[in-house]
Amino acid sequence: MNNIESLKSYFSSEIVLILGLVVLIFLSLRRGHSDHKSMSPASSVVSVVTLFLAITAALSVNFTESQPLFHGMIALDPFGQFFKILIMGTTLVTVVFCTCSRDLENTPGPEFMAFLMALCLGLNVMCVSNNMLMMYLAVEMASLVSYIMAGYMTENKRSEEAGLKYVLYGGLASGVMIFGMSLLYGLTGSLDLVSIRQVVINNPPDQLILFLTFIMILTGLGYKMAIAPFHMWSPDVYEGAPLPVTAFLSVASKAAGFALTLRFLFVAFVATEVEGTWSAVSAIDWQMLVAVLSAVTMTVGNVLALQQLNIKRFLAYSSIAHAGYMLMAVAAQSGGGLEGVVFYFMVYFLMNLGAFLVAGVILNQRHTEDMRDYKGLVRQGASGLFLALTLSVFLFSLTGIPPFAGFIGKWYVFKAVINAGLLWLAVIGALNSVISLYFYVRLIKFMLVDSAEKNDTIERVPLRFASLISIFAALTLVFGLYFAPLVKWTQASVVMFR
Amino acid sequence: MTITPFIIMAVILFCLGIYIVCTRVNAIGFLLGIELILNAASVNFVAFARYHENEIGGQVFTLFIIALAACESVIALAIVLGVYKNYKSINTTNISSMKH
Repeated sequence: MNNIESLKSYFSSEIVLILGLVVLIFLSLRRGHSDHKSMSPASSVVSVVTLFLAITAALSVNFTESQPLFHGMIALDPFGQFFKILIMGTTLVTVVFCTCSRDLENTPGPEFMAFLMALCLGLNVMCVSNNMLMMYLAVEMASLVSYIMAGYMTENKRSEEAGLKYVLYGGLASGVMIFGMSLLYGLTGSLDLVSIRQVVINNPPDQLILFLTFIMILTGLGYKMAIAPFHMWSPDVYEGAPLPVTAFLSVASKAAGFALTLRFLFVAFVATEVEGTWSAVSAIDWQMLVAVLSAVTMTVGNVLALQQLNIKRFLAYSSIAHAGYMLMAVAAQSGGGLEGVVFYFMVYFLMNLGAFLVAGVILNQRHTEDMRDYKGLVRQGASGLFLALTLSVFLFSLTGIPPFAGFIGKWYVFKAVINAGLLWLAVIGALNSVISLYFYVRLIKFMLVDSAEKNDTIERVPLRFASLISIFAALTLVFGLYFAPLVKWTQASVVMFR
Repeated sequence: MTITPFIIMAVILFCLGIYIVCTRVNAIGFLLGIELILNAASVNFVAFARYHENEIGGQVFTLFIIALAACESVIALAIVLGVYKNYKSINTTNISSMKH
């Protein structure tokens, strides 16, 4: 298919995002306008409409088979399509989140929305890139914008520190990644992932150098996914960045990182697929490597989360642990494992964004990020009761307790891991779930059991927040009991262009 | 001409970059280290593009690296400026207001 044709039939959601981005930039150029220093309604409306159109466009793309577009730069497949929709959905929630967030009150609104659109575009391209050049461009496009957004509160010390740490770690990680890419290019003579696989299978290069190269590229990808030992930046960045940005990074950025990593691993380094079981190329057996990374990641995330009292830092470590669970499914190297990752992301989207939304409401009203100030929340008026109960739903789901959606997600992941014969990994995963129970339940105890130091009631929750939170909490409950549609969508979404 | 000297040079540049990143406390020094790593990758790409016949992907990649390195410096320096306004210092050892 020629490029112009594929632009309009398969690339329309990206085009919509670019148009929205341009409109937002023009909006931000209106000097002296009264709403320049805040989230103006115009910019939020433009962003919501853009994202809505983009998601519709992505949903309405119908293709009979997976195929490469733009000379193999981009792969069109249900797998990429799923992650694109997930990311745009997260962006949509983030836009609503930004419209009433204390963190972003005195910052230029239209520019922020423009950055958000650019970030969404970069992450979208990350999910579908099938060529190392495209991978690098997409990662940089997403990273550069997220550096700016993490340091967006220019008057705030912590936000600036977050921006600096993010840019330094990110620059280093992507530098190491492209050095690895240059070596892989030298070894295989191609930038295209499909041709790299053919070279690696047919005339395998020197094993040691190939392994080093692989590790280098995995450094850059691991930084995007925030997995240990490349997670150092994430607690500080998540704590310092404005709350909506933290919520966005912990879901969308991680999702795109996983999509890119899975594509890299399964397209370039998997030789054959027989009845849902994939086997790695003989030159690199990455199953053990990924399994060890996943065990380290979840242990680091869970153990360090134990002592956190800041809600943003707490959720940062919790999201590292969840990346570990998802990586566990990747290590299974099977169709079931891929389904596990995709399914886990759907429920992770609901429960993690939900928890961040509740934290956002409390930050707006109480001006606190300290979890000890959540004490006795359930007895502080009707709104307090609502927030305490919904946050408990999200936290129980994050722990993976039935009947919440998080349990089903974990069940799929563990099933894939046990089917792959990695029993030791499943045991570590189960132990980690037990550790996580302690700190999630501690916060629930703060809210439901303990009594508050001073007894002031929570004011009415803004309607946008209340409706989003209730939808997310309801879905977390519903999908814990009736998850057949999710499973169906998951099974359709694991087809990858190879 | 063999490809080895180019690769050795790239590896030396890369190691110097990593060394600078590990030792410098100054944020700008850290950024210089990252630039060295990016340049090491560029040298590699150009050398390998010559080595593999009928392959221009590496040279194209280098052009993109140059452009993106410039973008990254712009953004990083802007953030360093913001940090300087808040902390009156750009030494990474002084910039730690968050609990570990």
